[in-house]
Amino acid sequence: MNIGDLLNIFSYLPFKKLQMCGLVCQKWNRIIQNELLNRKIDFSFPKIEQKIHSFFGNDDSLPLQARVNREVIRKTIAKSENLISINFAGCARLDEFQIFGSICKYPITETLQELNLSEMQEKITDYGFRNICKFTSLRKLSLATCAMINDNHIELIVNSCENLEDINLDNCFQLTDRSIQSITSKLKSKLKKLSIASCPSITETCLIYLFDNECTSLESLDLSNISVFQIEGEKRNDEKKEEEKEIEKEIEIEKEKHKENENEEKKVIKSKEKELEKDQKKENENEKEIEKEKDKEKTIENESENEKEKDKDKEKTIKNNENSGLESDFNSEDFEMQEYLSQILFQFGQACNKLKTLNLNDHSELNESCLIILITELTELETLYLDGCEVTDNLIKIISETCPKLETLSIQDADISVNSLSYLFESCGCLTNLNLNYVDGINDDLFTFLIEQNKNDRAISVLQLTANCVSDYGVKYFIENSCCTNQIRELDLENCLYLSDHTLAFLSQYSPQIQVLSVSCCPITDQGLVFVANNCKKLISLNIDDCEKITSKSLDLICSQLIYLKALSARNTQIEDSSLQLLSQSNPYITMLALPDCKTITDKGLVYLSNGCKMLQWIDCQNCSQITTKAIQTLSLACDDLQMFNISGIPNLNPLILSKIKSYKFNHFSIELDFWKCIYDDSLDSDDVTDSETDSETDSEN
Amino acid sequence: MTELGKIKLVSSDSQEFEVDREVAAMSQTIKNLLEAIEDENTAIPIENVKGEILERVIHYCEHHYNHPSPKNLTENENEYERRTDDIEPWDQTFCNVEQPILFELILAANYLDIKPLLDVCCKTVANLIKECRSPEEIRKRFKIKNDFTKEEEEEIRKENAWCLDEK
Repeated sequence: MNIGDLLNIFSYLPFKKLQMCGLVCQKWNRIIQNELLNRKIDFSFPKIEQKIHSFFGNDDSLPLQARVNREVIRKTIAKSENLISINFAGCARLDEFQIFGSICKYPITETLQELNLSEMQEKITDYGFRNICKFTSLRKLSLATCAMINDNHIELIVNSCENLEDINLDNCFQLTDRSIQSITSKLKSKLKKLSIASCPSITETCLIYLFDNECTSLESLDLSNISVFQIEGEKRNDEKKEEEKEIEKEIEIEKEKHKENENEEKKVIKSKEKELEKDQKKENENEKEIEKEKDKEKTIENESENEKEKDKDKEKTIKNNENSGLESDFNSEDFEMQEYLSQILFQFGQACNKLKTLNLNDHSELNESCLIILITELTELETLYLDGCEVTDNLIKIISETCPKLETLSIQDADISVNSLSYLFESCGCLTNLNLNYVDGINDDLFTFLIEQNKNDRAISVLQLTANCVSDYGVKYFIENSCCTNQIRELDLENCLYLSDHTLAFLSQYSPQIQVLSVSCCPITDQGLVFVANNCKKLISLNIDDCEKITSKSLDLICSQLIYLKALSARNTQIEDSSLQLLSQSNPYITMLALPDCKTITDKGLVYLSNGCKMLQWIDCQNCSQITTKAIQTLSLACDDLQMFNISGIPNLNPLILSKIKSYKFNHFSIELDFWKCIYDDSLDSDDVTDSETDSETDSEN
Repeated sequence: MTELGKIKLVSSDSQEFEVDREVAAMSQTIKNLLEAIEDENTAIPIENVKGEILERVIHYCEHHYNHPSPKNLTENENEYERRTDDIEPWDQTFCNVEQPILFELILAANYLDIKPLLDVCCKTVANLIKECRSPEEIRKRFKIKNDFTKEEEEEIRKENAWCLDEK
């Protein structure tokens, strides 16, 4: 094969796989060293999330973090002349001086395009953020979970890095709307991706900045968990005044543009007066009002929707909506909010209509009409997350009408009936990922629709159905009749109370390619699981929590046959030391093992693990009462990369030794890990008071 | 004589295939040739591709001519990691062939300049590599000879120790 084709193939591989390919033969090594490795370097160490699925979709193997030090960084970077990308995600053992001290020496500061410093917690401070400004060609920057970053840093960074396109600021809790202002006003239409999930001080005002500064190229926006309209009490009113000033400005701009919106300005002034009155009212009254308003809103929504269907002129719809609001009611606060929000969302949708990815998880304050107004503008959407939002049948219909390119839809907790999904399958031919966890309205009809859809070229590959009312028969029917069953990569049947062994056997035969399977809390037995162990060799994540009927017979098979398994969750099962022995012998790559409430596990099992499974990063032994301090010590010291070791609920642990392990771990690596912190966090979460006491004792002694 | 709107392709081992002009034009190479040739009835020699492979390529083109992909395939080449999990079901079945055939398909797609076919084949190979967990596994799978000396291999291993899984 020629070099071009090999390069094409290699371009699909992640960094660490490429390193491995470099060892295959001279030719490959030359190509990889010369063409690829000196462009992108990945030191990252992704943090394992508690949720078993979110991490293991990616089959990249992980480096042993302990080996990445200043020397390695220096050498690797010195080798790479055309570096365009460096990834330090989660390298919590490095500090900013090590990182910037090594990379700023080389002439890459002006050429580097991608820099990832996420999950660095407090490790990066003023010094580091000022150094980022030196990388003037940066296009992609991730600072997620860099707790020390503030608005001033962001301003500095966007002022010097004018080519930024993709910014990730998840979990940076000091950031406020001012950051978004600096980002949007500086980058304008260059901005393509912005992620500000879980930034508690960022409000819906950021949307105003987005359309105000004409960020028209925006393709991806993650707003999950930001505080849109969750401000309460007095604070809320203060902020609202500011927001209103914003929107007034906004409207003025609009006016200049269109010379049409005089009514709106009046309206805003009116509403402002009314709000000042409302400020004096007590909270109780507000609550009552909210209930009233909900009813009123519903009627108004219906009106506006009817109108919309009639003339389909969206702008008019909004105006009508507003007018009817003014007429029908002496606006209460809540209603105005929705009004105000829908206006922002409408303008935002118009400006950023190229959005491909939108994440609005946990925005229950956005009502149906707001979402509809927004989504009717976004015809390019490919990925949409609306978990915990007010998703209705009507909204699903709108989504299917407007977004023909939709690939991923997540509507956890939605309040919809199964029939509305048929629209979705009809018009969104690309739909491959569907999350319907905790959607009560789902029943077996879903599978009929799915089979219909499968006649198209595309078929569902990820299906999450936790806690749904699907029957064993339905699942079986789906597996048997769908021509694309072998497309399924991820299947979540948690709490499927009727799932039988027979169906599981079918599944394992029809979908040998499946990678992620969850059958927790299902009434399956060894019989079904044996089929899975024998047929689904490609599984990388398996969840069999609370499958009480299974015994070590099938668990042994699972542990020895599924050699690609990276995560195994077997809470409250009868897993025995013998299974762990098999696991340690056949699968040195396992990284996550959840065994809480497995009372049959003893020290022996942990010792097996410490001999064979040195890649373990996450182990949960909560309430495994037979375990002693000694085994915990052995395992902790054997696995360099352990991030989390849950030992809460285990009686009679020796706090002295625990604290020794802890200090050893920290001294050895010189930097504090999340390692024990997680244990404390977890013990605080659990109801067991005595355990958290034991743990806090350890803490104080240390 | 060929039917109206059809052209004739001849493989390296002299097998003849009649194809819709439009379908054949999915190959940039053939498209360019067709523009250069005036006589509709001339058989076009595809010298670098065996009949067995050409048949498969034509099959691919016919399917995708009749079932255009709903998604435009223009990907951002600079994307940090390109996706390999988005191969369409039909393509997956299509690429599920013996390795030598897969590699010949890549060569053919390259020669005939059919980008979607090339991409889908390369993705399939990338997926095969992704499944391997050691250089040894890759060599075995693709029947590649290890031409490193022991010292060389040790050297590279040492350099890259921080990112190899072995302990």
